[in-house]
Amino acid sequence: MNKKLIYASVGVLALLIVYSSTRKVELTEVTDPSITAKSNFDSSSLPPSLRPPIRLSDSEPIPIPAKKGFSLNSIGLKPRFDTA
Amino acid sequence: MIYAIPTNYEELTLVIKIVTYSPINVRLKVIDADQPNTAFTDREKIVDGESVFFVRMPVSAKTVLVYVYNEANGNLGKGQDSTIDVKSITKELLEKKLEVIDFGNPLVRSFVPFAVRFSYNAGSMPSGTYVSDDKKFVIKYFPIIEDNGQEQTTPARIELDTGVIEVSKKQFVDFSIPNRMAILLHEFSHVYLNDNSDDEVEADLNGLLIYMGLGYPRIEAFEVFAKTFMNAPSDQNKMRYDKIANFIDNFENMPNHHE
Repeated sequence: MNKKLIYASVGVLALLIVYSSTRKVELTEVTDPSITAKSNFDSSSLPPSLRPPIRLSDSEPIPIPAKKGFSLNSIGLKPRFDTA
Repeated sequence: MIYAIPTNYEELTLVIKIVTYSPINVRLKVIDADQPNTAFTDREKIVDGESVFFVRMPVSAKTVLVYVYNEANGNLGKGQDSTIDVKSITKELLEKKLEVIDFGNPLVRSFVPFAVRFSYNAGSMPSGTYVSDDKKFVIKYFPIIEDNGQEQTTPARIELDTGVIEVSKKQFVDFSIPNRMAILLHEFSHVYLNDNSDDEVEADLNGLLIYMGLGYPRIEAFEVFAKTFMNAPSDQNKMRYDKIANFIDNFENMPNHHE
């Protein structure tokens, strides 16, 4: 009896996982073009993981980025960029 | 046709089933309904009959707008274009392969969320200097990248000796979020992951490993490198493109970095 209950529970769980991983969306066509052209977007409404990164003001000094490790190149005077 | 899909900032894969009644060039765009210049994909494909588009979205918006139309006829409403129809749109789990990414490296742990936030907002952020929360990374977001007053074709570059990344807003505004991620991860790899910081191919592959492990769409990586290489055609870039294609093709069979 207990075994049957366990098998049934596992089956229901598997069905729930499959159901929740595929969600059909009711298709709502957008006909008003103004919805696609928002210019007053407020990024403060975004979740923290998607908000814009910190922007320094013009007077703020630029921090020195992390170093992978010391190299002789790091004391060079002329900037050297990758080429692409 | 334009459809509004609530995605609630979730990571997901949009599965869009369409049917065409002759071979046509189908354009598919998925954009943020609220933030300007923020696209999750912008692609086209010749379709004859039924076809399925998979749009991998490691990040999404509150609501996205899905544009599907016959490129030749332009974007018409449902029923107004007899050459194409959308059968269904479903939201499915996003497949990722996080085990290939070395999240034990604190620089990777710091840079990836910084790159995501920069990429998601680059379409509406002003030019300026941006830093990661821990101040380990700096991106100078310029209107254009120039040397001696001459505009450069590259969308981004990294100063190899300091790690400061420079990005061209002019080019990034038109890129999709995955395009931006692929470029930023390439630049990061030059200095922080490469054995040889000058090696472009090594930076391509190190960057792509993170990009694909996070679940970003393969086609967008091809697209952005193709665009960049077209601006600077050379034998080296042809070789890079071939190596990138080979890497992407073999990615699913790749062991993780611990193996």
